[in-house]
Amino acid sequence: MNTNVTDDSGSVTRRRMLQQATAGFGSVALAAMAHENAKAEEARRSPLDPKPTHFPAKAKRVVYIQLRGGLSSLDTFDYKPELNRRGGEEPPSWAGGATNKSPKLFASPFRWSRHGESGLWISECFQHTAHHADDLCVVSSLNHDIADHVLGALYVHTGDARNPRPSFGSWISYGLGSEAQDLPGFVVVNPADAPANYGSGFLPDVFTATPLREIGRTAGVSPIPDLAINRRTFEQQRRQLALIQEQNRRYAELSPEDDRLDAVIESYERGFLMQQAYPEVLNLFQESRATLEMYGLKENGSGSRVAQQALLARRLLERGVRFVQICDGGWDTHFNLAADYPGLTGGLDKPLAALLTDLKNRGMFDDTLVVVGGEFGRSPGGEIRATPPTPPGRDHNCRGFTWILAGGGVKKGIKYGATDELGYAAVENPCKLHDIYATMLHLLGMDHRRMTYRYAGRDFTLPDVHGDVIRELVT
Amino acid sequence: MPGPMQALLDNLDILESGSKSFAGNPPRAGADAIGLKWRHDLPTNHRLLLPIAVLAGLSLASDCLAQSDATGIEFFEKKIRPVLVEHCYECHSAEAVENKKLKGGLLLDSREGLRQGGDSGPVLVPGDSNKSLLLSLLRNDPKVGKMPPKGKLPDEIIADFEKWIELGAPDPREGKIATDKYKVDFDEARGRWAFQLPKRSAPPAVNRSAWPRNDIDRFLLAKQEELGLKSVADVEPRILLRRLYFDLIGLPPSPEQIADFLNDPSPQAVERVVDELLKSPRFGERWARHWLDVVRYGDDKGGGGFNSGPVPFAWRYRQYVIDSFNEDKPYDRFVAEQIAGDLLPHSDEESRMNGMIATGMQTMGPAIGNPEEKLDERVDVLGRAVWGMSIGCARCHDHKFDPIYRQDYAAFVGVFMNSKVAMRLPSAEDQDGAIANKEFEAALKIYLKPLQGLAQLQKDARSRMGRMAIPYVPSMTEEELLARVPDKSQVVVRQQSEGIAKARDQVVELFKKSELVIPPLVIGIKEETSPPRMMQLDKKSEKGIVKTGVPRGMIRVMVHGEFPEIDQKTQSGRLQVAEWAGSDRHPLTARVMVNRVWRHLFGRGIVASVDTFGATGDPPSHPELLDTLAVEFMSEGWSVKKLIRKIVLSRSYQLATVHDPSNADKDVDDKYYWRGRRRRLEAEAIRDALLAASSNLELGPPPIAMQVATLDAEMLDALDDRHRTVYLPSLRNNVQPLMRTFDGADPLLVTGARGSTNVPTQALFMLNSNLVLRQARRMAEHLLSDAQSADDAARIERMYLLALGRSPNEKEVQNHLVFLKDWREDYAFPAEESTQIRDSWAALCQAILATAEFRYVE
Repeated sequence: MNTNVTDDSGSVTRRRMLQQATAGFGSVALAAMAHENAKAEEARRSPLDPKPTHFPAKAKRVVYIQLRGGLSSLDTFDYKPELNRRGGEEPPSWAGGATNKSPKLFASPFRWSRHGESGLWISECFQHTAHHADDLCVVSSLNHDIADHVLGALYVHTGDARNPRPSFGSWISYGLGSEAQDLPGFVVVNPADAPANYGSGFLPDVFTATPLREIGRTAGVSPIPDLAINRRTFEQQRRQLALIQEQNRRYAELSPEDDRLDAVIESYERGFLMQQAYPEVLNLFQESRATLEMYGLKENGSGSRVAQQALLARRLLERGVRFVQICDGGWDTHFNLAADYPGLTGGLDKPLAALLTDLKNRGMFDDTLVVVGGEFGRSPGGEIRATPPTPPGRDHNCRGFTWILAGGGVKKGIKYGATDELGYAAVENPCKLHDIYATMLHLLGMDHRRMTYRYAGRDFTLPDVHGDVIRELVT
Repeated sequence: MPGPMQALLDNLDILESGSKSFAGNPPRAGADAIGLKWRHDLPTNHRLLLPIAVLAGLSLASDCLAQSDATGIEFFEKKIRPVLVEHCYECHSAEAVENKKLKGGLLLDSREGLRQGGDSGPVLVPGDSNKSLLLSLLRNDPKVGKMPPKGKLPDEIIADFEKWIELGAPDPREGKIATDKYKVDFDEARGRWAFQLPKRSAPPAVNRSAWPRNDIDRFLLAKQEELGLKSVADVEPRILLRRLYFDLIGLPPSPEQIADFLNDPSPQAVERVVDELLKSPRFGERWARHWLDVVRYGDDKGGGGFNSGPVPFAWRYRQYVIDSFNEDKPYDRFVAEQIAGDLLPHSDEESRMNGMIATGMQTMGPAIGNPEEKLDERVDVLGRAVWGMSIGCARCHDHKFDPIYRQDYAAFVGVFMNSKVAMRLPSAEDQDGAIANKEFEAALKIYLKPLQGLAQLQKDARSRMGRMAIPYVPSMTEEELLARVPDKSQVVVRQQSEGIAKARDQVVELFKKSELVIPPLVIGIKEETSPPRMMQLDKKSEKGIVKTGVPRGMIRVMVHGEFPEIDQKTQSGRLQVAEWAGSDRHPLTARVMVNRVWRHLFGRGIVASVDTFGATGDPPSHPELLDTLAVEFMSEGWSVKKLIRKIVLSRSYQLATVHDPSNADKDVDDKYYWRGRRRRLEAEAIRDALLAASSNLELGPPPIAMQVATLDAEMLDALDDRHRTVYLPSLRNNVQPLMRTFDGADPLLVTGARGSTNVPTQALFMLNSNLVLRQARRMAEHLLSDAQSADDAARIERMYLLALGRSPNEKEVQNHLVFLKDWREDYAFPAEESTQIRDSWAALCQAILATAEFRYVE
């Protein structure tokens, strides 16, 4: 295989280069060096290759922590002294009888204090995260009109609760590609909603999220299909692969102009690399004990719901995955909030704080956009159940809810927008998920109006016809 | 509660009228009192908006100034006009109309335009800034929208506008609205080729008159000659055979079929093969799938919560489509049945049931809770599948590009709003079939139980194998794991797989002997009770906005001549639409289908955007050819088989895929058909070809009980079904890895042209998936037991014919013999020789199945 790299005419061809390198499966780096002409290169490129941004990016990657059921901002990041004063009172008439299940205003049962130089109000539920107060950007004026979990989730993931659209992770993966040669651009850890939430919609399938399932749950189950070498040893598969690639190269030689055949060859190289990369990235035990502890993981790997996911997210981001989503359930807190919330939030608080610290320690915080939020928020009115008698929780509230952003070029230590004095609805700088999408793209160096995909005769964008960059959130 | 708050609410209504176009739309320019009455009808979500409006509304100042006209006009000239010019005219002026940039049908460059308002109604109420949508937009009121889109104007300017409106919006600009906003565009759009009736053209004269075999060739050659392109050589026969097999029936030719064809010297050999393939029941299985892509066939509801779970009896529709293509049902009839099969006259019970099944097309797509949305979706699928037109756009506004008005949408949707999705027994129409379905589900349990047991066995084995395989288990180091992999795992894996195979055989037997009675339940469309309703549209009149029922009918641009009359008192019009769809006076039905067929055979449509024939689609590369084929398609009885036959017997279809740089330079978009197009097999064809190569394909549909019981990905995998892929369930909420990996059609979307990617997950699939490993092992067993293959070289020969449709060359044979030998010599585990031999062959077969050559058809 060790022939000269130049062909008969003396020019270096890409295929020769591949031919050379494939024997050792190390050609990916070399491949980038060889482009005879731009067009062929373009056609050959994997759709997941990194793509140029429209303008310099502040964020290079995103981690989205999905809180299924919705964060109760009134107990965490959206301090409402008026609500807390009036707990037990009737809701005001203008609340419009938002839900008949909420007869009384429900004061937050938690202690609140200001944190950091910014003085952001954060409740005791997020005491660890509160150490990062001066790096948080609390957006408190999100709103929409879908009070249903299933449709709400679809809406926050895709911007449309009715028509199938690509999820925002897919859009970002489509627009920017992946920095990782051996990992996908968009990974969802422990997905729990319908696939459309993580799907690529009308974008090509390669931008669909790669789900990693059962992380932190069942040992011994492969997190993605067909990853493990199946009934062969590593050496055996290498031998097979050499044969496959030899056949492929010979086949491709007959049609030097057809770059798709090169793409097949390359897909095997990348697949082979992935096969090695995944077990490696999934092996959290490569982390130091201090790191494991910081995330709240014990030596044997057990820990809170989010701990393994958060640490895995960092490892994926570190290796160049563009968009990692981790999914946490249990936030649909209709009842018994005072008793349940400390445990629920505690399962997120420590790993979240650890993730922020970890990113900072590794110099990744400034170009990693961290996003936390669910399909909506929770109501100011308490929801109770008569039989069996159950202490109050909060009902769905889609009219004003909070997401947290941090890192990656967002302003630090600010609260943007506000709900009314009781937390019913966004009144100051109300914004939509579409605005957040546009802002995310902006931070990633993309103009949301120019990042388009043509489908059904129309150029679609991620925020579609809605939404614009919220300048106030951007440094 | 009069005053500013109400005004804001009024504006809010204007906005919503765009999306709530069905029922209960309020008269929006009316008095406050009217405004309050209807609001109770709004869904809760909309009522929830009230407090926001209250808070925002209260902050508005009503700072009314009394000033003389002259001052007002001066104010306009100084403060208002420059802003309009700078920030608004780009999209809201006569010039914008000319530049086709007009937005929202709103003209702000004349007094009249400003007063009249746009698509969503008036924007200005002189003297009352709080009632003026214009101001809410400038303020970026979240309930209304943001203008200008590029960013909010400074507060001083907004204050100026407020003041100006309070002044009575003095506006000295004279003159009528320069242009009738849309009319020009629509007239132009009507003239678009796609809306003209197709015309037959005589084939053009060509220089190389001996080259063409039929008129298709003459049309294509004429264009090539015009552009200085020279078509490449004819493809060699064995490649042509493989192409024909995959294109027509989606399967590779068997070694025997290859031999027969290559040994047939007659000039009619190709024709004979084509006719055989068109007659094969496999033809329908192949071509049905193309149609199922377009109507987004799926076996589950695809939504969340209540809208998830299997769609009962969806498979009947799939079988109907397969049968229809096999019977060569005239396409006009095929379409008519899918629109109104329940209403068409039927000669017997079976045809009646088929008619009802056919309407299942309208039940496809994701389940949507909101009936209006679902209706919109039904209509939009129909428009795009049959006519290549997005009709849905016109739901909220006149179509921006194509001559489809809201009026058309209302008329057309009115036709379909009088029917609903229903499950029923065709013999007793008033029964919804729920009881029969329940009984059926109960009976099915006998079959589900052993299948579930099998799945559990599989699952156990998988997790055990998982622990022994590569170290993705974080609790072990790589060394630890590798140390554990050897011989023991081999033994365990084998024992397990034997147990599983036994259990599987038992389940399959059970299904084959199934005595399950399938009730004649159908899911489709059912006409609702008369009298039929009309869709209501808002109309502007002097009294404000009034509701007007729109008579049901066809989209006007799709009608040449007289559309059959609908008795508005008694008929929904669905029957008439069905009839019209297959009329030769419909400009699109035949063209769109001809183009779809062409695309599947040539890899590129004459209109490349196969699902979009409107103004935003691609122009046809060969309009006369497309038209001529469309006219012939209609005059030859709408026969899909005749059309396919004509195309594949053209010389152009039978060209080699070789490259020609000089042609390629002249034909940058590769659209002039001077060579064949190498195409990657679709997901279904890849699996079918794997099964065929391993001689494990079971032809024909699986037992119904099996089809129904495997509406679950895990069951399906456990069963290891060997039937053609088209029969496997298509689960929207659980898309099979094969489909996802190899660009299967998304069962949520209309897909006339699938993607074709080459990505690493495909490599992993070919290297590690159970499906491929199983087929490789079976193929090895087949080769080793094949009496005609005397030695390894002969087996390699047969392997190549099965997998690639060709013989290996000398070098390949030698290479593979070495591969087999090396594999055995370095065998990783102590094992019997026969095991080693079988495994080495399995490894070789898998490698060949994994090649690019296997998955590309030349």
